Amino acid sequence: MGSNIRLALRNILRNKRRTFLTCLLVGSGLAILMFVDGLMLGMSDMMIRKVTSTWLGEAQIHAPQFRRDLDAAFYMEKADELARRAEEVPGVEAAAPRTLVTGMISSSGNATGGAIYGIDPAREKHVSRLNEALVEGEMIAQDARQDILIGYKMADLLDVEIGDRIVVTATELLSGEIAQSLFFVSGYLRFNDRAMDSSMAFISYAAGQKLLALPGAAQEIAISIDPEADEKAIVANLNSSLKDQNLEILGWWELAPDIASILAMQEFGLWIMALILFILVSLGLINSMFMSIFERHYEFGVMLGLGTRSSKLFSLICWEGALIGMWGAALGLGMGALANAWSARYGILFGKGTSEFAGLTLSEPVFNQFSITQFTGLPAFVVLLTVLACIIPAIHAARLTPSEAMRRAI
Amino acid sequence: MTVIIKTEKLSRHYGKGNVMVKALDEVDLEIDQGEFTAIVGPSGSGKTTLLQLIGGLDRPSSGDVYLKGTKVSAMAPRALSDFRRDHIGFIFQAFNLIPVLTAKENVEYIMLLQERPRAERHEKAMAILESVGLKDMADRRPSEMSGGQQQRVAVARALASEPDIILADEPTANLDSKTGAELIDMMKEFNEKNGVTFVFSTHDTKIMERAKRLVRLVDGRISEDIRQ
Repeated sequence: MGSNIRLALRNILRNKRRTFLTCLLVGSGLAILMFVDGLMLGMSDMMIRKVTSTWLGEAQIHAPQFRRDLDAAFYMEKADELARRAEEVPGVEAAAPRTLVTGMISSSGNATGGAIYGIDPAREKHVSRLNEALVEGEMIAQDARQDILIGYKMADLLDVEIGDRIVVTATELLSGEIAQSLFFVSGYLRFNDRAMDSSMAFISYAAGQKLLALPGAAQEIAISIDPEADEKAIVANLNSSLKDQNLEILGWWELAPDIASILAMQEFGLWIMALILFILVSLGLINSMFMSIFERHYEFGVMLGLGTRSSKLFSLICWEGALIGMWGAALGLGMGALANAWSARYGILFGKGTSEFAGLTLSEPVFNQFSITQFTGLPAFVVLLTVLACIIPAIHAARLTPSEAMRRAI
Repeated sequence: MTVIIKTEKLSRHYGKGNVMVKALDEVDLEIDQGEFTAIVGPSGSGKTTLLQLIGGLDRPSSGDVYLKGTKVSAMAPRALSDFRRDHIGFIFQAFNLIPVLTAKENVEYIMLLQERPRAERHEKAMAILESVGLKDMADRRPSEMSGGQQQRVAVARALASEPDIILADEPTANLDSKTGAELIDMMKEFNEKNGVTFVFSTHDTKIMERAKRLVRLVDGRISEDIRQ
């Protein structure tokens, strides 16, 4: 085998330009795949962060039937204690209880339905980026009773400005009576998410409990998890730690299954794209190998005539392909790593913050990420496909008879 | 004398029907061990075809070839490859050598196929190159050698496997007369010293003069068979 590899190496160095161009073809394919993989990872990361850190959190705790209809009647008692217990689970960074009620929000000019969240600003800032979404006005004070933050699209709809009055109409949980509460707009929020900007409002945690006439209770506890930790393991630990409480504890992938599906499809899509890309690269490679073989027909005839077995000739061509694949992969690794490094540093901004993907606005640059797959799985895939592409030319060479090979060359 | 090459009603056709060409037409031939035989004839007479069929480089359309009593025309491809490797040496008209191998490596190539140990290959290759006067060219590639030198390396390679038969297809066609004569004399010497059977396909009168036997082909048939 060593002699075959040596011969293969010398053969591909016969025409250095062609070999270089073929390696460049293979390497470019790998570099593209690496870059796209890095871009998809960056996009996934951005999407997950956008989904989780904007408002959702990495996990949430609810009463078992709450999420079916977002019915405030399914609440958790002693929410503060539950939040404290959740924070004791290793890997959980913070837990923020929230009240939630759906109701009518009206101004002197208009009215709309919406979700009114009661939040504790001091704890909320460790779980979500609500304060970063504030574009005008002031964040709700910890014990504010009548301050309300609304999405900027809601403000347009209600035709209100900062300081204007808003009436929230909701059902008190225990009595079942309709109650109205007066608030004053303290600020506008911009999430760059259509649904959130037009249908969410925020009051203080205390105001929320008063609105529902339910002291100490909350409908939701949002959880933030250490970014270095295994999210699924932490959620499992939360379930285990709080199993005595009959709660539903879900990770973001269960709370936003459409995003999780998109991410899974992205990975599948990458391999499909890799296959298609390499079918195209293979066609170029097959052409290059056939040219090389046709030029050497007579030489193959001589080798076969001397007693070289067809299998050895087949192996020789495959080794030539493998060497080209390996060199091409090395070239591609360098190019791909550089491209990813550049994008990891400077990022790629899609459409200056106006592009949307899967319902999320891409308002910040996407930064490529490196992964082990880019340096192991993808190059191995490339080398394997390169060798597979050489099988057809190798079979052609192996099927030659000595006289036929010498005749064709003439 | 032992018959080492035997053909029985050996034929080779190309094409079919109205466009069939009979390159060889029922040739019966016997060559004894140690003979220095030249197959001669005009272009298109079937010389190269006969040589290729004898050497197992091609399959006959009909008839049989026996080498050392073995029916090579019916051998499976892999067995035929191995038989060629171990019993037949080839010298082609041109482009004999593997261009990316040095002279020594070209000579070693057959021994590599025979899976001989490295030290043995090296020693024998150098000895044979010395016998053809090319020891100093051992590390040169074919592109760095003249046509005559390349053919001498081809002869060295053919001898390296210690074959019983050497088949040479127009080995002097691309050489000047002096170089060609030297090459033929070298092969004649090997024939006489080692008893290796040589069969040439040739137009070269120098080979014809030195051959002990002349087999003349015309239109794929033997028209004359002269022992000189």
